[in-house]
Amino acid sequence: MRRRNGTFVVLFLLPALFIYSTFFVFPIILGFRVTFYKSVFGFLDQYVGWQNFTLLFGAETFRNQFFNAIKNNFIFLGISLIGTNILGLTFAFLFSTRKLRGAGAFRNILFSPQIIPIITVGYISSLIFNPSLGTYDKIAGFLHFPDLFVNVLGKPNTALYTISIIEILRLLGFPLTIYYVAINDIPTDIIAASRIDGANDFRILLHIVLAMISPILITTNVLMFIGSFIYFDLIYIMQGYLGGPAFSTDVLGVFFYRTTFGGHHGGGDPGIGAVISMCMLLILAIVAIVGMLMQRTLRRRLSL
Amino acid sequence: MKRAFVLVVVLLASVTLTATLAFSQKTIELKHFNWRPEDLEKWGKIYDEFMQENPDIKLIDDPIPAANYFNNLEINLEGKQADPICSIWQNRVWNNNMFKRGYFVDLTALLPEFKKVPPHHQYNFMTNDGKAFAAPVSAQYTGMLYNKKIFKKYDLTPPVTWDEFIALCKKLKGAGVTPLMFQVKDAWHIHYAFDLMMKPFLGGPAFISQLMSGKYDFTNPKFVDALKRLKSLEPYFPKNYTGLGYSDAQNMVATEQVAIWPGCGSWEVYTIKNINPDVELGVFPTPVAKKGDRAYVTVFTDQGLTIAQSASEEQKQAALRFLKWMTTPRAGALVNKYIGFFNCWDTNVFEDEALKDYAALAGKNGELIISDWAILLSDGSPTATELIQAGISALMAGTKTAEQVAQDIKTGLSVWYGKK
Amino acid sequence: MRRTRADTIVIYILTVAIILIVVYPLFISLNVSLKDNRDIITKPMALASKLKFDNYKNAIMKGNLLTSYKNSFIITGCTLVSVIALSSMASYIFARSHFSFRLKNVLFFYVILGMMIPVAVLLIPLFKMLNFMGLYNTRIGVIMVYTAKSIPFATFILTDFMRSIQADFFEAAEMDGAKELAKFIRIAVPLVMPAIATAAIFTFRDVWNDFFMPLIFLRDPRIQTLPVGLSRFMGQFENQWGILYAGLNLVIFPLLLMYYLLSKQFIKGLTSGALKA
Repeated sequence: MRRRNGTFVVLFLLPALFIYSTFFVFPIILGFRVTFYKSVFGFLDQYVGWQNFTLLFGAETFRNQFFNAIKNNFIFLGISLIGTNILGLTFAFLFSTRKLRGAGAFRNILFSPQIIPIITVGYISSLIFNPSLGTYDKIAGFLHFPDLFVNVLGKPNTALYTISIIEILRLLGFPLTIYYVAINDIPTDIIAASRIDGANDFRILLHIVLAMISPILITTNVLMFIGSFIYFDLIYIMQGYLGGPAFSTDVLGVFFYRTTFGGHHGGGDPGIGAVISMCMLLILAIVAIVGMLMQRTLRRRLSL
Repeated sequence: MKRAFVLVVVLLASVTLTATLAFSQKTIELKHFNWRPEDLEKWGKIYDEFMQENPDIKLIDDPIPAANYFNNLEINLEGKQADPICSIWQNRVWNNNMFKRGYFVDLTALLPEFKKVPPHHQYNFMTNDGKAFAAPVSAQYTGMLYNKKIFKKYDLTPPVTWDEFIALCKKLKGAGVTPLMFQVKDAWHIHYAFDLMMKPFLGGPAFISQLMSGKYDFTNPKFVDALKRLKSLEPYFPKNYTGLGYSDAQNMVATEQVAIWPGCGSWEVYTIKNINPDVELGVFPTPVAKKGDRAYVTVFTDQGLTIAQSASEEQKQAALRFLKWMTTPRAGALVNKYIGFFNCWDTNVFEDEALKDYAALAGKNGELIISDWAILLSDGSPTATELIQAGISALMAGTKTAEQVAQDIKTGLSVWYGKK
Repeated sequence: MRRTRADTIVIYILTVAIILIVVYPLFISLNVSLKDNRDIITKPMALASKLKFDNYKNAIMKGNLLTSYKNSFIITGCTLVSVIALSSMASYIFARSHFSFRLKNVLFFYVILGMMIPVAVLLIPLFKMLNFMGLYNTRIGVIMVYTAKSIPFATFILTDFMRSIQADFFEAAEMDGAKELAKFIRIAVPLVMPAIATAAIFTFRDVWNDFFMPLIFLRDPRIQTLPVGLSRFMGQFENQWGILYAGLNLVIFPLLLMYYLLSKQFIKGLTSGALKA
C-alpha cells in the first residue's frame, strides 16, 4: 500500500515542482549570483565580491535612495493597507450582517479595477490629475481647495499620498470580497445572540467578527502586503523611473528597476539591483513567516 | 491504373513547385529595430524608395517605445536575437562598449561611404582608433523654439542677451501669456533644456574637456550659478508645471498656450505641426551673457544604423546594401523630406520655417558641440543624466537648494567619476 | 431588522459615493476617447460634443489589436489550464494528511516562497535560459514561465481549501474501493471548485495584464500580447490622447464585460463552496 502511494505522490507532485523549479527558482538563483559581480548588462562581467553590498549601504547616493525608498514603501503600504482594511471590513460587515441588497453588484464594481491592466489605471489616473488636461484640478479650483490639494502629483509632499489613495480605491475590491465571504460564514446565531445582549454594531464588529475571521484577516493582509511591497508598475507609469517629484514616490520596486536597468539612456548596475531585490525578499520572507505562524495559531484556537 | 495516375500527379506537382521556387525571386526580409514608433509611416516611405531599386529586399520597421529601447537592445544583442539592422544613438560611450563586445559588424572596410560623411557626424559612431560601426543617418539640434504669431502680436524680436531674454519674458507675462514651457515629469528632457540655456554660462568646449578629464568639480560657483539661473526662470513657467509632462509640452506649444520652448529638439517640429498645422514657429539662438559672446549650439548625431553580428550572412549582405544606399546625400534629402530630420551631410533643405531656423543656427556660428555633457558622463552608475534630472526635479520642487543639488551630483558621481 | 432607516440610508449613500469614485475614471476615459484632440487640450471639462468615432477606427486599424487579443487569449488560456492542473495535483498531496513523508512541509514552504519574489529579478537570467533552450521568442516559453510563476499562489489557495475537506469523504470512497486517482477526480476537484475559480481569476489577472515578460520574451509582433501591443501603440500616438484612450477602452471594456458575465459563476461558486466547507 505504501509503495503505491509513493508513486502516486511523486506523479502528482513532480510536474508542478519541476516546472516551478526550472522556470522560476533556478533563474532566481542565477539572478542572485549577480550580486557578487560587476555587471554591465546583467551578464556576469567581473567578480567583485561584496563590493555591491558595500556600495549600496556605503555610497551616500545609493544609501540615501535606498532608505528613502523603504520609507516611501512603508508610507504607501501603511495607508493602502489601513484604508482598504477599514473600508473593506466596514462595508463587508454592514452588507453581510444587515443583509443589504446590492452586495453582489457592489463587490463586482469594486473588483473591476483589479481586472483591467494596470497600465490603463496609470494612464487614466495621470490624465485626471494632469494640471492642464485633467478634471481634478479644475474641480479643485472651482471648489476653492487650498493650494496644497492642487497639482497633487507634481508636489513632493502630496504625490505619494495621492498614489496611496488611488491604490486604496484600486485594491479595495480584493479584501472586500474575501471579508464578505468570511463574515457570511460566521454562524448567524452568534451575532444574533450578541445583539440580544444589547451590543451595538460597532462592538460586534470589533470583538466578535474580528476575532472570528482573524485567520483570514492575516492571510489577506499578508497577500496584500506582498503585493504592495513589490509595487512598481503604477508608479513607474505615472511618475517615471525616478519616482518623482524629487524621489517622493520612489518605492523599492522603482528603485530596483532604476538601479538594474538605468534610465532612458542606459546606465544601471544590475549587481546592486540584485542586492536590493535580495533585501526585499528578506523583508517579505520575515513578514510572511510571521504571518503564517500567527495564522496557524489563530486557526488552532478557533478550531471548532 | 490508379497508382500510375497518382504518380503522375505527384510528379507534376513537384515539378511545378520546383519551377515556382526556382523562378520566384527570393525576398530577403530585413527588420529595422529603432525607438521611434512615431515615425513608422515616415520610414515606410524611405523604405519604399529603396525597395523600388532593390526589389529582392523587404524592409520592415520594428520600433518599440524609447523608454525600454536600450535595455531591450542589449538583451537582444547578447542573446543573438537582434534584428539585422539596429539603430543606435549618440551615446558614444555605450556605442563603443557594445562594439567592443562584438555585437556590431565592423563597417570600416565595408562602408567606404562612411569616410565621406562630415567628420563631426562620424564621431559618435566610431572608435577612437578610427573603426566605424554605424551609418550616420540623422542629426538633431536643440534650440529656443518660439511662436512667431505671439511675438508679432506683442511686437517682440528674438532676444540676444540673457537680460533681453528676461525682459521679454516679463513683458509676455504682464500681457497674460505664459512665456516659457518647462516640464519636470518626463525627466529625460530636463537636461536638454538645462544644457541648452546654460551653455553660455558653463563654458563651451573648455567645459566639456574638463568634464571628460574626470576632474570637474560640480560644486564650483559657475555650476551652482547655472542651477540658480534655471530656478530664476520659474515665474515664467506654466502654472503647476511640475505636474506637466512631455506630451503636455508638445500639446501646449502646438495650441499656442506658451510662447517659447527652450531646449525643444528639431525632431519635434513635424510632431507639433501634426497637432496644429497652423502654428508658426521659429528658433532663435541661446541668449548669451553679454553682447558679442558666442552662442553655442547643441547639435548631435542622433541615429546611426548598425548591422547585428547575429544576422545571417545573407541578411548582412542585404543590410549592407541598404546602409550604403542610406549613407548618401540623396538619402539625406529623403530624411529631410519624409521624416523632417537633419541629415548628416549638412546639406539640409527644408521648407519648414522652424527647421530653416534650426539650420541657420549652425550657419551663424559654425561651432558644433557634441551635445549634452550629461550623456557623455554615463559610463557608470549612477549616470550624470539621472543625477541632473533628479537634482533639477528637487530644485524646482523646492526641496533642495542649488548648492545641495550640486553637492548631490558630485557625491553621486564620486562612485565612479574620475576613477579609472 | 430593527435597523434605523437613517442608518441604512447613510450606508447606501457612502456606497454609491465610492462606486461613483471608482467608476468616474472609466467615464473620463470614455469621454476623452470621443473628443477631438484640440478639444481635449483646450476644453478639459467639456463633454464630448462631436463624438469622434474616428479615434476608435484609428485605434483598431493602426493598433494591431486583434492579433494582440488572440495572443493574449492563447497564452493566458494555456497558462490557466496548466496552472490549475498542476497546482491542484500538488495541493492534493500537500493538503491530505493521508500522505505524509519527511519533506512534505519543506516542499510546501519551498513552493509558497515563490509568491514573494519580485519578478524583475528573473528577467535577465530567464532570458539566457530560454535562449539556451531555444524557447526565446516563442509562446510556449512564455507559457512555461507564467505557469511556473503562478504555481505558488494557486497551490497556496488550493491547499488551504483542500485541507478543509473532511477526511470522511475520502474514507467512504476508499471503502467503496476507489483508487487514488478516482478520489482526486471525483471528490477533491468538485469540492474545491470555488478555490479553483479564485486561483483562476487571480492567475488570469496576472498573466493577462503582464507587461515586462512579453516585452522581453516575445519579440515578434505576430505573437505579442495585449499590454505590449498597447504600449507600442501608445508610443506611436503619445500625444494623440483621443486615439490613445480609444485604444485603452478597446482593452478595458471587453475585459470588464467578460468579468461581469463570469463573475456570477465565480461568486456563486465562492459562496456556496464556503458554506459547504
